[in-house]
Amino acid sequence: MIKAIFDLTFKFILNVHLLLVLIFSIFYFVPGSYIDDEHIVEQVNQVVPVQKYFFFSLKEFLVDFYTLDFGVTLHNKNLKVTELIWSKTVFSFQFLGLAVGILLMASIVISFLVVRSRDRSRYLDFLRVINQIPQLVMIPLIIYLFSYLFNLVPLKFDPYSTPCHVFVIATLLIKPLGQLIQLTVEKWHKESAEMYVQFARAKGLSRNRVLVVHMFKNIANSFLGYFLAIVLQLLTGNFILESLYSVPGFGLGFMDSVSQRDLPVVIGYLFLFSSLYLALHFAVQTIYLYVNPRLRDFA
Amino acid sequence: MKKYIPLFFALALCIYPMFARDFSMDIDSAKVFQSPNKEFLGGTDSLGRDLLQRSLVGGGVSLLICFASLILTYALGVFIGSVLSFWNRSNHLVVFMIDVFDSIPNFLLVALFSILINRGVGGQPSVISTFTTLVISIALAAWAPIARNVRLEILQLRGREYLSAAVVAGGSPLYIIRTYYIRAIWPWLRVSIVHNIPQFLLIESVLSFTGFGMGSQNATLGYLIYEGWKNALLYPHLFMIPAAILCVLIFMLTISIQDNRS
Repeated sequence: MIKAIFDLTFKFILNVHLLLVLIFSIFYFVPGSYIDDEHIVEQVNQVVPVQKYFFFSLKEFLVDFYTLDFGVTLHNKNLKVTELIWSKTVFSFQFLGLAVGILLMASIVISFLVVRSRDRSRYLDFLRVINQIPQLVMIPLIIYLFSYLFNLVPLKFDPYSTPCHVFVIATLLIKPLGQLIQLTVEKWHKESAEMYVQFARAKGLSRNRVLVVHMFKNIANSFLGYFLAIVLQLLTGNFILESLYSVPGFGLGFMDSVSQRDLPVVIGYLFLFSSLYLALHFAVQTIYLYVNPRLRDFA
Repeated sequence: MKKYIPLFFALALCIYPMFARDFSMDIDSAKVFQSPNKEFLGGTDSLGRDLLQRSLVGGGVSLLICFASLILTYALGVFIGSVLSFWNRSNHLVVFMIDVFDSIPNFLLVALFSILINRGVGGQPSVISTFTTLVISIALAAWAPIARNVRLEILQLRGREYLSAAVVAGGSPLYIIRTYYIRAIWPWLRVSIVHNIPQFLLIESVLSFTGFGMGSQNATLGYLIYEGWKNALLYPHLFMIPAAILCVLIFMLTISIQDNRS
């Protein structure tokens, strides 16, 4: 177990360093991608900037990376990229954290209800069709219907309106939830053909007990895999929703920085998203080890 | 054969921008923001351009990027995978490095590579350079899982008796690769390529939606949806037409890959 966790941690650290190398190469080879705040102070003091040698600048860059200092923004030299991104991230996390929690709970509960239901195949067919619609189409359509056409929520995001918050979370969740339910129900239903399920039923155990205690433990591994892939979709959906519904979170911030060509902020956001995903990946892999003991030897 | 008709249609739509590009860009200030009518089936946009034509051209450009990046990605993946499988010193570390590369999400990697190759965001000198940048960055981000699978497929074949017999019988390496290896990995390769087409189309659409795409002159579907949304309150057809075309393309391509037997 400890060896497996050590392996995973090593992989995580390597991942972060691969990202750092990529971002370092962008900083080094793309002009204007890194604006050093100290350099600007020097310019203000009218000191002629000295050309730095590669290894000296490499050392400075590495120090900046490990302290997560991405310099200052292109348009506002007094604003640090890290501070800007952090403030937006805290705002977005209020929705995203809640959405991930609801996604986890709701998908298990709804999948259980669908698996138990007699109209299971009809629900599955419906989900299969709905899940073909990409998020890029579904999110604008939902906003148009509920906000523009039926006026149920304001036209733009209002931070003081509770329906707005509920609407944002519901719109974020609608597609990932559908997909997660479809995949989980399909897996759960396939599992019912196994011998141990029939044996448990023959012993006289109730259907609910077999579904939850016996079968869910075996599909939990696949469920976590689907969950990881679908949380990533939640991030992509967040970009689209925030930019279309003017939610002042990191999705809108990223879109704004791309349209303003503010390269330091764009790179800061990309680093944030990637490291977020990697952390999530690491967490899910660790839970895998707990759920599936066979993986402990092979991780 | 019947189920590949959508794929042929998609290929035909790729060629469409080369013929239709000029008249889809005609600006007419007297016909701005028209709703769908007999003359313009998809209505017109803020500059009086035919939206249906523009969306079809955008869909064609999206598919062109999608297919070009597919070809490059698979060429890269198959080449690296087969080199790794024949290289006896390729060990767990190499596979581990591929795993590490694979675990960063594609969209973010494409954006990072796009900045690196393009030396910035947007403002490219020519259409071809933007197109090439997009294709190369998608390929650089997506080759890892293909290389891993190709390596595994070839490693499974390496101990087989009929391959040893072919070597003993004096078959040249090229003959053995052509006759045995390519034939063996082709079923997996075909399924994987066809499954990846809608995925790549979606990656391209999200990229152009976020501003890393081809720009307004050669707008793809993602960009058209983003642009149409600005006036969606009064003219909903501006985002609905490109969105509908994106939906139809994804539906068609997904239906063509579904296995009817399951």
